[in-house]
Amino acid sequence: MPMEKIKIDNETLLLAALKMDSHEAFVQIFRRYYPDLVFFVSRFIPDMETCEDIVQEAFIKIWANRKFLEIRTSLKTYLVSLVQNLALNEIKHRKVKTLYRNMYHEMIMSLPADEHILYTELNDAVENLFSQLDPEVLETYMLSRSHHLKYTEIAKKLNISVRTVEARISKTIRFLQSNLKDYKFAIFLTVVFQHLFMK
Amino acid sequence: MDHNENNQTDILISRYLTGNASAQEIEDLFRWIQLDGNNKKYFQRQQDIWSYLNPAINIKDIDTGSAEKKVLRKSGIMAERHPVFRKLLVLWSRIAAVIALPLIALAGYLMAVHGASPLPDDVTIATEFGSLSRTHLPDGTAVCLNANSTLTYSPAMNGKGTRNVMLQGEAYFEVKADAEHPFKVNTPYMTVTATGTEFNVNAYDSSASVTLINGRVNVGVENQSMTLNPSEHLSLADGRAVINGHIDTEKYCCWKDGMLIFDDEPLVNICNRLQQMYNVEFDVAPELASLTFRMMLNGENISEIMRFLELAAPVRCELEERKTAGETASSRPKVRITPL
Repeated sequence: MPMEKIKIDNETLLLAALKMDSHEAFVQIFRRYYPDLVFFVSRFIPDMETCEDIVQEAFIKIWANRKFLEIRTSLKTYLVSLVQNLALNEIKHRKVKTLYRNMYHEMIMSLPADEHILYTELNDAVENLFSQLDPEVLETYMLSRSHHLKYTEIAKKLNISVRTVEARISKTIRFLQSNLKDYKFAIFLTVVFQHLFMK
Repeated sequence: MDHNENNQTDILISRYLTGNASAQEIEDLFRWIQLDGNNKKYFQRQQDIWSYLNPAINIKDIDTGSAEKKVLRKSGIMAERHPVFRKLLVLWSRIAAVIALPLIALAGYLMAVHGASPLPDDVTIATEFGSLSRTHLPDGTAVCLNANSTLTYSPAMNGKGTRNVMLQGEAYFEVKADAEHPFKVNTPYMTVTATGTEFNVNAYDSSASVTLINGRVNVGVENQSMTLNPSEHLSLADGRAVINGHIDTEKYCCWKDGMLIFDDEPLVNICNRLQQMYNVEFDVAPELASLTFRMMLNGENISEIMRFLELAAPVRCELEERKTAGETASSRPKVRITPL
């Protein structure tokens, strides 16, 4: 694990090595970002094969242009911008069916990419916090969050009262809110709940 | 940003992310995002979290290993597989191209002269009595062919042309969707046209029938054309088509799973059905013809079926082997069913 950390933290080194034609550096960058980038593109194009093609194309471009890479922000932001642009092109001009086309959506997609949090980062943070929770409390929360069960359904399933369900979920939310401030999770929770109520 | 405004924006963002925002709301959101860099950051963060919680794909399904090999090959970092073989292939394809050119010209000439396409011959699949066969046609359509049936198709049907097959007997089709190239089943009794559906065609004899499971088909009988909806069954009786709605499709299609279901069916109908699929002919005493049976067969052979009938009703079933060479009218063994 610490090795991994060093690898990621030393992106400047990785980039320098890449410019010097290091295959190893290229592979490291690829392995670190490929799944996250495919996942990122899938928010625009819900077809995994197309998403994978787009991200592969991005990496092929990066290798081809390695000598001329000018990365002012971070490697991550650079990669995200690149795949976002390729995805936008795909939607606008080529193979992707009109099904996915939505002018307003494109308007928002064409915003320059900033510092995004990728799947793995979020997942690590969340899993880390979940591991600190009481398993029963976590199970209750997951039934609500991942399985979209209603409180009454959860109560019946776990053979506990609706009150307990409410208590456990609000406990989890408070815990997440106080621990994920960096990720502004507090905000997502409001979003999610409004979403649930609107349904 | 005061609290109230913040809340308003959150609602707007959540409406956008859940796909509930109106065009006006999206424009408002867009304007807000462009107001300053922090707004944009805020919005993107929300998007990240949203897609984490509502994933469009499962990140575990992504095969990074094979993608890596692909990318390394395409970038020229990793050598292509079997370089020698590849070189030979390139060389060979060049030679082939040189040879092929006059051949193509010749083919074109022949086509122009004879007006016939030099396509390979039609493919025919035939099944024996008592067996069934599953296959995929070149266009991706899945077919299950019942016993004693023949299906003929052109191997070029995945091209731009029409998708035509000839059927004698019975088959169950799961047609690969392609609205531009309708799939046509031609039988001596009717023609069934579909674009992407599941249906059963029974065309053993003039009492042919079509059962639709999913989607929609057109059935052409002589000059008439009729549309079938799911769970409808069209059957021919004396050259006239009758459509029955809300039927139990399973009853007509379960043969593909090796079963036969008879639900209070007259003996004569059961025998007709059995002689479509088994190498026998029935001779039912007239007074027994309307006797009804309820039974489910699961791959039994004909002598087992005969025992079932004898158990269920006061009848005697006798298998009569073909006697003399003189009686050539029918080469199939005969089962005689008489009252006990």
